[in-house]
Amino acid sequence: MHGIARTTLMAGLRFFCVAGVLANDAGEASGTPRDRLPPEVEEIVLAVRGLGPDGHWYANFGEYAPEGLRSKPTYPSGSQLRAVNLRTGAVRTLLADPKGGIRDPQVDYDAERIVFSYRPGGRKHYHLYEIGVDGSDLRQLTDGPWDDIEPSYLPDGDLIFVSSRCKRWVNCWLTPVAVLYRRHRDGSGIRQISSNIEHDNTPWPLPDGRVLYTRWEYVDRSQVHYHHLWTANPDGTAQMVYYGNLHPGIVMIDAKPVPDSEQVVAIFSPGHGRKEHMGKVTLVSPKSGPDARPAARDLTKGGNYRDPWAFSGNCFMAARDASLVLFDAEGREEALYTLPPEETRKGWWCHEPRPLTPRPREVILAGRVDPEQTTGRMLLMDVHAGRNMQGVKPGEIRDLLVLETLPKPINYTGGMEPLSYGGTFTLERILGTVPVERDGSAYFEAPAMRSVFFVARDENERAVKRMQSFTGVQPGETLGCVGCHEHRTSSPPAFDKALPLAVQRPPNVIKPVPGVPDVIDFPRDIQPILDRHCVECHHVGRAEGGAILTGGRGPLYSHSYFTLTVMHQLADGRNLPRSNYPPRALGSGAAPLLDKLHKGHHEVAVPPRERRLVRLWLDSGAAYPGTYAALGSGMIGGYEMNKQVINHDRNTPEARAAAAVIGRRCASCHDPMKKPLPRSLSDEIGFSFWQPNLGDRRIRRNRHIVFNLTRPEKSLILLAPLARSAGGRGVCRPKDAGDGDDHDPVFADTGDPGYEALLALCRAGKRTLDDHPRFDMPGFRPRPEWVREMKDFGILPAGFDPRRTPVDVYEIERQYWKSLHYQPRK
Amino acid sequence: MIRRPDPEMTPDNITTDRNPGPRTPHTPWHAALFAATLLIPAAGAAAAPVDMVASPAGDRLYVAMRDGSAIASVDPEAGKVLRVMRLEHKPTGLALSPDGSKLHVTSGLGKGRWTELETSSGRVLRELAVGHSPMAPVASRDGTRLYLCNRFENSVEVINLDTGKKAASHAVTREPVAAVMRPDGKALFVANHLPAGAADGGYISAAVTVIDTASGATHRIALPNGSTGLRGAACSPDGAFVYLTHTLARYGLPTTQLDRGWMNTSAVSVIDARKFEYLATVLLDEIDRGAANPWGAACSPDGMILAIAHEGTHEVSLIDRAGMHNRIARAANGEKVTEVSSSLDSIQNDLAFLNGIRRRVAIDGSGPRAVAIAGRLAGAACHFSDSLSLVDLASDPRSVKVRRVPLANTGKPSLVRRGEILFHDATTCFQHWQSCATCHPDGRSDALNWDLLNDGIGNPKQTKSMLFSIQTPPAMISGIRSTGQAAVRAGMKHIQFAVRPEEEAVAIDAYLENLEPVPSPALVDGKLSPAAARGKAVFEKAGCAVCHNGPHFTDKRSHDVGTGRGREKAVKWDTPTLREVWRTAPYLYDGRAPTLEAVFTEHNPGDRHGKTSHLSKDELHHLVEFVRSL
Repeated sequence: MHGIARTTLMAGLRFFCVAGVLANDAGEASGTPRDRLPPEVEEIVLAVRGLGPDGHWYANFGEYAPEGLRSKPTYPSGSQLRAVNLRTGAVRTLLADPKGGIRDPQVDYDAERIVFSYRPGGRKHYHLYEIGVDGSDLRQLTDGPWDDIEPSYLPDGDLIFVSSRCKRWVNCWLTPVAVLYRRHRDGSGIRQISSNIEHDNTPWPLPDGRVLYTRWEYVDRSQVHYHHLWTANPDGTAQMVYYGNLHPGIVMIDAKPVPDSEQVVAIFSPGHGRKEHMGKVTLVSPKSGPDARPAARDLTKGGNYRDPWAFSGNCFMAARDASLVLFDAEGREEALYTLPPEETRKGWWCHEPRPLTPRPREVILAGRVDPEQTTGRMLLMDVHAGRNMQGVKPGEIRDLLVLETLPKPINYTGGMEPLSYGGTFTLERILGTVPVERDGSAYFEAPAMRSVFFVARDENERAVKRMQSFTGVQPGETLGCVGCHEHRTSSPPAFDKALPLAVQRPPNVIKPVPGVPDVIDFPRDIQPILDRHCVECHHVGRAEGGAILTGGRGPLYSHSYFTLTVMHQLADGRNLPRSNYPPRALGSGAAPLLDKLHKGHHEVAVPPRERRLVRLWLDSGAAYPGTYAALGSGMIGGYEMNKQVINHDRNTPEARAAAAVIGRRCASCHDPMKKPLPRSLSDEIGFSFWQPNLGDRRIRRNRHIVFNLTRPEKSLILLAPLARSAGGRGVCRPKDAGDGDDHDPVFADTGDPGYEALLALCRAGKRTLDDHPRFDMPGFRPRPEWVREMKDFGILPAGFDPRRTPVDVYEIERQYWKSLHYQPRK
Repeated sequence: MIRRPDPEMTPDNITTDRNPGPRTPHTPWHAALFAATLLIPAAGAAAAPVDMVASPAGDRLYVAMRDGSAIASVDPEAGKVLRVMRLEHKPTGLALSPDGSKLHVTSGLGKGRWTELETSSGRVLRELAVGHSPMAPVASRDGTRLYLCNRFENSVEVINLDTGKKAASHAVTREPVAAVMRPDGKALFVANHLPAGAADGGYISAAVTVIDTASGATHRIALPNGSTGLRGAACSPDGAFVYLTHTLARYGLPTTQLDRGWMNTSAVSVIDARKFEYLATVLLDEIDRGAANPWGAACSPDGMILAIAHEGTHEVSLIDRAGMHNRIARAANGEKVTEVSSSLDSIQNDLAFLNGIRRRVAIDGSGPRAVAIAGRLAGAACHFSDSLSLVDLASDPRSVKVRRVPLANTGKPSLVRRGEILFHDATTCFQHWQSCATCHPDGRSDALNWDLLNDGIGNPKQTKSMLFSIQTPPAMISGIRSTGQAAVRAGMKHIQFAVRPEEEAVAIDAYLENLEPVPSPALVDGKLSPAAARGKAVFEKAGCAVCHNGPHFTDKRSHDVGTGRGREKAVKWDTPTLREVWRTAPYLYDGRAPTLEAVFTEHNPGDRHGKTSHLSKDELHHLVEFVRSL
């Protein structure tokens, strides 16, 4: 009888709750949001702390990369783990550390333990800790010279979290990256489950057993626009976009399921995100697929909310500045708790509130990983199936070029210099090719735990369609794909054939491209081809079509690299918030450079092997160096907007003298606004470094082309105003000069003091490069930070000194990347 | 027999359980409360409702309870069982006379029976022996004819209700399980449960048979590739459309995952009932949640709603029929209706087609198989919870009212019953895409080839029946699982992608071990026909019994019978049982042989699979008849 009475009561309660929702839905709102709080919620656990100094949503742990910034913390100091009783107002301090950092608490299913990330005062790194809900039995769960943050319990008892033990750096900032890991609760079996080279954030299990998380990525598209919601199985398999990937410009983060609903609640932090993930609380429904804009609905008007929690579809909690607030689906809001004045005066806020109540375990999914394998398999049903494939005929795509987006061992600025000029931030490795059958199917072994992406190519090995995201397989996983960029709300078509052709044989092994380096280095691999076939017409003295394709070094890039970029020869997609281009819009499928090599450009005859090399360079991101050791070295000037400038020369005597000459001798034509000339080697003449407008023709006379720091006297800034009789091009004349050959050039000869001043500027630049050689110059030495990281990663010996021992940076980076490859285990 | 109303069963007793996780099929409190009313079947016995009809006025629902051997008469508004009409046999289907005065009941798995009951009294008016395993009776509008689906005879039998005698029989393609009459009475649409024909080609699908009731002519309507497991049929009140529920299997793909309907999707196919033409197939699943095992279907009398029971996910879909047809019509005109659908063909792959025009209602019951609409209520007869769920169609879409009416006091299910419940339960599967029974309907086969990963990719195999799978290890045609039990656990992990308690696997083992063969339709009075009796000698002579021996007609060993193709040349196959082999076409490991005859003739080169090449035509016929009788 007891059992019956109890269950009857429960049924009654359930009915009561339903009736409550109905009443509210009917507009009979009975008072405040607090009335909708489930009755079992009594205490809320939260972290309280101040804010870190860095404005980026992710840059709140670890150390900055440059040696000079190592002492500057990325994180706030002083915090508490606290429980607030909503009925009595009583506050319990579970853990307090006046110098330490406490973040990301999560309550276990039985509401007995809390896992959180903790950096004890005086230490550099956050690690995972667990504590009883009564504040007893604090236990450290992880350790090591890295940071473990954002833990979440998994229904099988394991923990999922993100960690910077993945040994990689943000591609466009100065802080380390953290990606998804999991571990058994007893501490064993820590395993990386994401190969992302950028941040993963805030993993949280969905009721159906998948893990919802934020993936930041940018494969050949904007670095500040793609941080959306993804899912993966808890073993890292089946990584799939959940919401937003085609809608650039919002950080979707801190997403959690809404109970008794198929929706999730998340923070939509505007643009590239705000500090502490601050933004609007937004409700997302996945039912119409990841690209349906109406599927997201803002619940809050203001954009200063953080860390949302859904009690139901009509009752939400979030942190807002120094308060916890409760609100309903209509935005009616009330404060639950506010920090005392002595804490708000310190700049402390409320963070990551979670109810201290038991909650149902999610579904446990069967693992698909075989840890003894080093590969998984990818099965593509039909490469032609997809959006934006207009005009591509069945059978047109012959193979897939398989590329890997490579982790960065270090990074120093927010820009992409010198990897590209407004293009890629990342080196891409050519893994090889796999055939596509005539029915569009492909089936191949792929290395496990690597971020791979594909270029679908035609019979001429030219790109038809390019993937601008990455995928991957876990060891032993077989991943099936419907097509390329197919509708995400489509089930696989019921093919009217017994079997895809590709599965009627064993999986292909990715076939390396013979005779081609896996990471192409422009000065080493491409410039010799230009030297052989192009520079005869395209050197500074002739510059047919205005193009200079010689390998002379400008302050950041070679002249040829700069010219090919600004004259739109690469079709690299630029660093834009755009993806899923139509066929033949990117890389070797669209690059005018390749048309010239293929279709004949005057009498140029480029051998097939060289054409292939250029094709592959275009399809692997068209970067300038083939090594990340090139970062932050061998450069003059840089990211002015962010004040991240290396070796800027604006105040050197040579620059001041040259600037005076330009002002005096050139300004009559070169109006500083309409036709500006750089007045120093680091003067960007107003162009954005990371988003240069290539449509603005003024860019074609910027610092990257007018200064030749390899052969200073060959600088355009010298030759253009120098009389032909003196070896110049004589194209610059004073404005009042008449027509006619060589009439009154600006510089009649090289003895002109103005000429000498400009030459001195160029020579000073050459000296700078000679003293700090670029990656392609003799005597090049990587920066100490690169060496430091390679030592920390165990690639270089601890005692290694690059000043004494030459280092093959290409080889060392190869070893670094290899060290990140999945190691099978029994 | 009718006791006072259960105080708990008030109209206010509604629930809106939307728990997406696995559910307990039985809710003890209902059963415990119901004990007070002692309404019927003996305590502990399952009722297992299988079919349901609504009275023309909508004031009664009649529920056929197979294992309870009874028909329950329910007042839907009151949520009360008014009367239970006991039967001598297990009912399989129900139809109501046009005036609502008589119930036509089919019964029998094997030997079939038609029973006519008086609804007012429950009195048996007439009975007649009919075909093999009859179900899905349909009474003609004028009350003169009754149509029955004789499932394993592949026929529709017609009874003249004036004389009470068999009037005609129409051949259909395979296992007719549901039928619906166009309101004008001129056409009967019959759902064939399984595909017929070989499975190793590019197209295999179950079909719809239309019977012209005047001429008796039949017309076959093909469904999209991979259509199998047809279960329910409904016709719009205006007679314009017929709806058929089924599984749409993506069987051409290796079973690498379930996400986004990679293996089985659940569908309703729409037939133009006037032109006898296929129109479109609409998916009932959503992008991240399957709606497995769609079963019964019904249109509301006003034509507004198409209701579909999801046996595997314990839900009822309420589809806005006008909204659905509006989208279909626009897609047919090339308009982009959703991200995916801008043509009729694309609809069948669209997991968001019904977004906004369908409510998925969790019905507080387990295994709804039949659905009927009575007034403002949609009833769903729940096969596994022995209950009727009443969905209030007029309630707020955001919070649909559901009321549960117990039909029996079944108590805690036996281990075997629990196994059966789990075998059919898709909520134990990742995102509810499929249950074991999706590929193994009734514990048998969906007649499709599937490319499982356990023996590599690119070598699909015909789904095996589970009958005697526990008793005849190893399991799978390749023998790759050492026992049937191992295969059960592998299926949970690799096909359901789920981690489930061992006790569930044990229960499924018990269910499978207790599957009973259905008597072959080839038997005459339960015995071998003369031809089959002669075929027994041929079976011995041809050497079939060398491997196919013992009580289950298998030596439980593997043999190369010369059938391996391509990469599987010379592969040895586990000897399958021949019990119920009459039911499990197509044959051989890849389903290449549509008939047993084809197994013994064109697919036995070199007599590697028994010495059959020398058999005379008669001997071959006798052999087939014998094997068909097992």
